Amino acid sequence: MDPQNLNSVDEDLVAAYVDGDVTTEERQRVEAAMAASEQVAWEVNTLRQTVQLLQDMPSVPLPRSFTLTEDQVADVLQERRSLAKVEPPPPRQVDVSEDTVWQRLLRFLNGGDLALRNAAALAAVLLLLVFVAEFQLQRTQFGPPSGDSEQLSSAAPAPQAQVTAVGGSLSGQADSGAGSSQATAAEGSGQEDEEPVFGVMSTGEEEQRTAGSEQEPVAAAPVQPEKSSPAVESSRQQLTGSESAGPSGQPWVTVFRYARILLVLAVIVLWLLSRTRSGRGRA
Amino acid sequence: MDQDNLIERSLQGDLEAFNQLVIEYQGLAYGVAYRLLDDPDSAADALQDSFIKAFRALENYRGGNFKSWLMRIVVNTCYDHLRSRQRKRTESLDDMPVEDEYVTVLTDRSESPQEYAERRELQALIGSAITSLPEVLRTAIVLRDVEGYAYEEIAEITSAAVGTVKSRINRARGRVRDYLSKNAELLPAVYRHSLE
Repeated sequence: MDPQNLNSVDEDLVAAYVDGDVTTEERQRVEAAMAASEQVAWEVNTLRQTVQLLQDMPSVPLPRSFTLTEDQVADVLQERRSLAKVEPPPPRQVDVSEDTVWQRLLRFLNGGDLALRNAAALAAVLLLLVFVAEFQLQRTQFGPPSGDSEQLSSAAPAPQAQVTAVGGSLSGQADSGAGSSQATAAEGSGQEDEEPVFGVMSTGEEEQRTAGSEQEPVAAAPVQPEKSSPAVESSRQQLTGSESAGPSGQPWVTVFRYARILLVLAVIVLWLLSRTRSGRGRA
Repeated sequence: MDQDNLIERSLQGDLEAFNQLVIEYQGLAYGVAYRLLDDPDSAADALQDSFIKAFRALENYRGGNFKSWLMRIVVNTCYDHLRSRQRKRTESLDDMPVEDEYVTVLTDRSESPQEYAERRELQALIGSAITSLPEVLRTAIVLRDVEGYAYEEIAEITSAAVGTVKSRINRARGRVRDYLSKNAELLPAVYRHSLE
């Protein structure tokens, strides 16, 4: 190709001319160069004919359809479908965020089978009634509250709680209380000091053995009453009183004790059953 | 249906929506694959792989020209098949040129047996000329002169600058012309004289 023509008509311009993508001025430039040089004319014409041959190539018919089947992309499909399902709708997200702990607790308690839940509630109410009745019984047994007992209200609970909560040890407590009162009496009179000694020995037998002295328990026994406060003294009086009221209140105490245990069990079992039934219902 | 809607549904696991896109573009894509690979079976395999890849990679589609995005996958998959075929190439009978089935389908009933034979030879010659080109030149000339894509689209598909694309097309046209000139006796008379 003539170097002069190459300068005036470069490759890009020839390509644009072949594509028909030139301005009037550019077309005139190319055609002028073609007229001036056979080489440029050959270059442009052969390229144009080559492009024409390529464009005349027949289109290729599809041998088959290339649509995808589920098997070909099963893993991706499963992932996308699960993601599409997992995403919760926006309103529900707002509800969850607004839930307080109290609301969740109420929803939890309200769940379960209604009939069994009501039965559990009834058992709970009965349990409460038993507690109230038991309290009333103790009040009637111990008599109406006096000025002393009001003073004791803060100090006396320990022995009283033992009496009510550990119902089975009521008589034992009463016995030991009686023993203590006897010890107090013996301290004053100096008679029958063997009984309180045995009482102490039965509880502090091991200490006595390790000490290796038989005199110490005897000496220790009188020490306890000396240490006892006015509150303990009053509790002793109460226990003595309960001992005297024991024969009439004892059957009721036993009845209340078993009723309490049964009702606690009933509340737990019925509530658990209600939850289980509701779980099965959902499943 | 709206193309964006089909893509969105495809992303949610709606295969039917994606298959509508496949139906829309499979003709164009098969033409490119066939010209790049010059073999119907290889083209079919490459195209099937391309659509599977496209479905899997749909999360990476960031909008824009979906056709260009899809064709880029098709072209790259064809490159993979070309390289794989070059590695496996042996002197077995399987590699011998086979009859193009589609040519029989497209037979013009009005042409004579002589004309039919010449047309087949011409198409085979042009196919050979394209196949003789390096990958990037082959892609550029197929997309531009055979399939009719715009320069900008080709630049997008091949991830190259428009200037680079133009340059590749010029070089590819020159090489094809030179290839045909060497086999001018197979060209129709109207082309033979000018190319000689």
